[in-house]
Amino acid sequence: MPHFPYRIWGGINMETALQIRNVSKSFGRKKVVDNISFDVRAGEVFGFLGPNGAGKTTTIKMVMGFLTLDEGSITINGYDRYKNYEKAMGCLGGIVENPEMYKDISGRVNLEMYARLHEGVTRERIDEVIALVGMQERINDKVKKYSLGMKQRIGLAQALLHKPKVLILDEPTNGLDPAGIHELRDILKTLAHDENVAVMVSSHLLSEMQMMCDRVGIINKGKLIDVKTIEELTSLASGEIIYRIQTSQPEKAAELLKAAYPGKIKAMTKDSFDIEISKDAVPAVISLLSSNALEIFGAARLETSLEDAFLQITGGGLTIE
Amino acid sequence: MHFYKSQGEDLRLNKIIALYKNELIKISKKVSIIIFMIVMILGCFGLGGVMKFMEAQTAQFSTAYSDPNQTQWYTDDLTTQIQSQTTYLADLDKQIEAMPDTSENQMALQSLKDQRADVYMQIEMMQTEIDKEIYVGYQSNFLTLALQDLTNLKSEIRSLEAVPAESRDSAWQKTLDSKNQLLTDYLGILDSKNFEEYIKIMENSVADNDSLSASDKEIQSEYYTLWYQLDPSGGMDDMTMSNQAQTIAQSVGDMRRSINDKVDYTGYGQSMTPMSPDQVGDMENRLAVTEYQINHNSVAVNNGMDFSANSSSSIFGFGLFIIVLMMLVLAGGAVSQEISSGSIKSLIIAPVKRWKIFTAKVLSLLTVGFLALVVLYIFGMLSQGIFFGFSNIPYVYASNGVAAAIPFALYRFLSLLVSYIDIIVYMAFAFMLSVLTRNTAVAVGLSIATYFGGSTVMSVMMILPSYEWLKFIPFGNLNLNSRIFPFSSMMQTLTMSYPGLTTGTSFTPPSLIFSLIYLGIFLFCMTYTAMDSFNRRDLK
Repeated sequence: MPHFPYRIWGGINMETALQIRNVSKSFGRKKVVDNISFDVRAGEVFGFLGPNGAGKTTTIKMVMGFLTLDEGSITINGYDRYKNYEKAMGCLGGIVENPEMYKDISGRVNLEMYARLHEGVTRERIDEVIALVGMQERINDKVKKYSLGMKQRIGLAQALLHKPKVLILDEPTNGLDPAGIHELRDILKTLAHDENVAVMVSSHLLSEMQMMCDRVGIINKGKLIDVKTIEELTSLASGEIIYRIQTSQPEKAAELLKAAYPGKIKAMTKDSFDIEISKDAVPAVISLLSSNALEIFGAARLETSLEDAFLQITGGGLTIE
Repeated sequence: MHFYKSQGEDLRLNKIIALYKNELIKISKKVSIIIFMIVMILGCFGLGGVMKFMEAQTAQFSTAYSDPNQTQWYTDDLTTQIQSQTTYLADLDKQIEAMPDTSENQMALQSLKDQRADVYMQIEMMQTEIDKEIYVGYQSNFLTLALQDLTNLKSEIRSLEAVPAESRDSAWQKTLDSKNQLLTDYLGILDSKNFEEYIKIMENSVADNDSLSASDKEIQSEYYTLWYQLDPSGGMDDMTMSNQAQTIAQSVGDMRRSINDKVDYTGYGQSMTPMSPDQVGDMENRLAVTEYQINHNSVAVNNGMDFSANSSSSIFGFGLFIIVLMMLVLAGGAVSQEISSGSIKSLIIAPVKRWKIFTAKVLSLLTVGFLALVVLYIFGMLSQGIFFGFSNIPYVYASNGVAAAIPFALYRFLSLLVSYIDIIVYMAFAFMLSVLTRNTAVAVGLSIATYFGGSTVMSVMMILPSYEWLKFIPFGNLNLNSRIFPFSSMMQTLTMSYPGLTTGTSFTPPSLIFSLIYLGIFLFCMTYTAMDSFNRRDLK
């Protein structure tokens, strides 16, 4: 179990809101989740990153009460998921896979029905949440008339209704348009950073994580590979990156660079070559080439920094969509 | 910053109530429920209307024989028949004359003479039909019986008169006198068409008949008294098709004889079987119910069919059928449909334990079933009232040979409540299947098939030898209505075949207490299985 330094965000203590310890789950003989442990702290957006079938949704379903645990324990806001089920679940809100509502019932009545199961959700709170997700105009329509994006919004409203301490969203950007994704990002960040909610978001999209998460847990084949802050991830990426430099004489360029960067030339074509160098070394390489009268038509980074880091962490065995 | 209040476990009941409210909202928004209810209400009024229409049709048919065209046609037909029979008679006379009166011809001659007497009787009867305007082929009033008696009487008198003078004695004279007196009486009745007179004659002839035992005399004379009481017109009011009053009076006599002899004479077409003391008790109760109904004028003697009672039984039978279907569709989809549509997610994520969700679902189904029965009761009674009046014949029951009545409205309500038990059992089955299979089609399909298959299983059980273990089959313990209200079939068809007494080889339903305990345990097992599965199983 890796140790994470105690952090301060915006002056609020970052206590653990969701604690997952040594959790395993098998479906038949297949071990879908294998001894996973991690914490999600109040006030952070935690990304749960992994390819399809890695065990993200299974883990989330265990937290949410859909699946029993084979081994391990889950604690939500200090309440054990088994011993204090209703208290634990009272602190939790979320969406698993696609949000599904009662289709023949309006969005508002759906929310009212859900609110009834929680204590202290007022009519004003329902209106507030509807406004937060921007569904005021269509809230009295039957849910079957909603688009996927609208269902996501109403699902988010439902998840936020009772002001949960822990908010878990499984692939929340599915079906949202770019503006909606942007809006969701802002909502989640505000909830975490300003209202001290522990937000956990699962995704298979690295770029999405990069934009909204404070920390990322990476899962593959049922095992938690590592948990890193976004800073750690990007600093990992600040190592050497492959650049493709277009020039009229790639062979000559290779000759010139051989001495300074031995073994860093990766590939060569008729009009370009690939070189693995750190970002800081790029100006030096280009000035060396141009001082030797080589024509440079372009220099481009071949892989994004995070993907690179990600591949490094997972050992390159993943396909990132 | 506090986002939540502590979620105490003391809210246990509140949570179930909240879940229960949600379940009712969900069910109320289902289109299928609205359709089922509309069909049920339309059925209530439709069946009432159809029964009223059929009653009107039958009434029209029953008056058809007073149509002059019909009677003319019938009279013409009789005339033609008389002509041909007269020709045949003349032919027979010739044959008899032509036949030499030798000892070897005696048999053939006697047969011809008998034949001649028969033909003569027929001609005589047909002639009287025309003369007295009685149409045996169309009517079934007392006159047609009197006519037949009269014809027989004439033939008896003829054979008395054929007695040779040397064998005539005072007894002969006495018999002849009484027969002649009876003949005069009959002829008088055919003219006056007076039923009361007819009954008196018949009662007198029973009293004078020395070949009858005292108890038989009593039963026979009661027969005529009851007939007159039930139908004072003797079938002359153009309403009686098959003479219901006679059949009822007859059945009372049959039951009395059965009780006296401890042998069942009432099973139509069945062999007369000796009865056990229990069966004699049953018979006494049935007799008590019949007598109660006769004495309280709650017997329909018109039209051979009581449309009012038939209407109410078909209205409520249809309504219950729809309710069962509806409840099986609801219960069979209660869990599986939520799982397949994914809407169960918002229940699972909510801070409620699964057993509470389960309990709320069960309670909501029970509520909806009960409300549907109340709707059926209201609209069924309304339809029955609109088409057949609001004063329906009461439910009459008897124990230890003493009869008592429950008002129709109360009986119907109680009967629906008893049906509710059956519905609950089938509903629990559908619900269990819904939880276990998580497949709505399988749960609904299988439970509906079981509901219909149950009656088939029962009918198979009826012909099986009565094994003790048969009473542990659920179907044998269902259909409580027929056991709690065993006399309900007598409301509808007092005179039609009574359910034959159960003989040793067919299935005897277990006792009511056994059935109730059995069903209780059965329900508990199904509910427990379903709840356990619902509580534990993963929702992938």
